[in-house]
Amino acid sequence: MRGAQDPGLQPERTALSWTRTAGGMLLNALICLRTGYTSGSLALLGLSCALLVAAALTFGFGRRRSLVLVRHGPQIAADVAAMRWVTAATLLAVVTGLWAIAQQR
Amino acid sequence: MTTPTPDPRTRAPAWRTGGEEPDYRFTLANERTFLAWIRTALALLAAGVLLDQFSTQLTPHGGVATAAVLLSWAAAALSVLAYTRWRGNDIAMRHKAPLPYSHALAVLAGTVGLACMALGAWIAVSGLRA
Repeated sequence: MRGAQDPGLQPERTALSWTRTAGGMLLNALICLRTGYTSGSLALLGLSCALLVAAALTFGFGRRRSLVLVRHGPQIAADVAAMRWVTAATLLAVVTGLWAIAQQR
Repeated sequence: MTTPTPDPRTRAPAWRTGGEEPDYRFTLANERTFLAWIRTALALLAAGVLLDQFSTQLTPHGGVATAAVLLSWAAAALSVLAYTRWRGNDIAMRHKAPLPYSHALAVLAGTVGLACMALGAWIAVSGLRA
């Protein structure tokens, strides 16, 4: 029914964009998790698990966002908190990635 | 159904309520642009970490690590830039001002292009030496 409301498929494209972003975060979490296992670093494993949770939460944000757009109309703008959250989660991914690079030494 | 209902649980900052509510298509496009920049940052980061992990034959390895760290820093910068650009675009749209121009895209394209050429040359040289 989404397409019927909006010929530009705006809600659908926005929801997919959130899913892709969560996927990118999941990929980074898995790469770092692998390094955590091979190097046996507990700190890196912890950071990677946190990143895994962040990816799951980002996926959840996207899911909630798409429901809001479909149920209440595409006029509802995104939460500032959600955008800040994603930025913070990406910075967490950077810290985890740098940690993984340091573990290779 | 069509009028946005303000959620009392989330306190919107002052810049989010000023001016005139933009067309929802532009708001959603801005949101997707933000997410696209975040994904670009995540891709740069993954490239850096994977480069460091899988280029064991490439010497000196300190150079590889430096490239990986630089890519990670670029990812951090891009994620912050994604947020500030989203915010700036939203404010501009609310006040019907021109969207803020950014050199980010040109800098990113140049950096990625140079990094690819440098890495390609490096791999070729170490292949010849081996």
